[in-house]
Amino acid sequence: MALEEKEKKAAKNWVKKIFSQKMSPILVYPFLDFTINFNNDYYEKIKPLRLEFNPENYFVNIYLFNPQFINLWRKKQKKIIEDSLDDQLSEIYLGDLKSLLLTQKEKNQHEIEKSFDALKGNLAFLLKNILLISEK
Amino acid sequence: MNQKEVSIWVKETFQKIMKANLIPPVSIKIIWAEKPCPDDKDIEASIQYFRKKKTANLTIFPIFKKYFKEGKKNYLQEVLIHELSHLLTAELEELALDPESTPQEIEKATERLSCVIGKYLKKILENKSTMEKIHFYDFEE
Repeated sequence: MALEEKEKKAAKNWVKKIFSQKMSPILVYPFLDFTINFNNDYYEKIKPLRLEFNPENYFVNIYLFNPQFINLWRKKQKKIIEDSLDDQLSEIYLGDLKSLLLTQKEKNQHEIEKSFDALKGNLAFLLKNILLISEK
Repeated sequence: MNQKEVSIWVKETFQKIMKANLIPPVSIKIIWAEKPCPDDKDIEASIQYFRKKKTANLTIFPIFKKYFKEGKKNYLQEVLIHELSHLLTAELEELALDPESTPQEIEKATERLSCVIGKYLKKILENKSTMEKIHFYDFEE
């Protein structure tokens, strides 16, 4: 296996581990699973990665952007990568709402209301747990 | 158990949530309904938020008092938190359902909500505590 491929595999495994650790306590409905892939042709030129919720299968797709991701990885700047992941965890909470509101031309009111209900449930989950933390 | 006892508990719960800065500043009026919610008789409470006036009416239905009497305070706290989560989504919901709102307005409101969620998630991740599931979902253990 070429060195770069080995590097990519190690990086993907690390992202998988970190993401799983984070998602295990904050798992929300209807998030199901996730994929991790490198992407060299995406428009994103600054962020090392992007989280995208797929409303079709309820998966989260994690795109690792090169060269910025691999540059950080080689410089052992894992904290920057992790922070970028943290900054985008809200995508999972927003679920399919974002794609419903921002990409679909014909907006279906019933679907939007259903998606808001899911979001409110997820927010209630967050609020309750922050309240428990603040009460400690 | 009387209404006063429930009212004190509801207000204390709100104060805890507000003290933790979890919702936007709002003045909440509690309305005690004598009959169940006409749309759904199982609903314990319902909130009507007037975002621009920073006020809200929280209607509490008789079933809420029944559960309180049965000691289901943990569940009722979740009901109140759920109702208060409406305050966080209100701006985006108004824009989403308004046919005259622009994609830019929706995008900005989505971004604002996303920032709020991100802030909450960071609090939880920094705390590293075990999260407690809430009763609204049928989570698979």
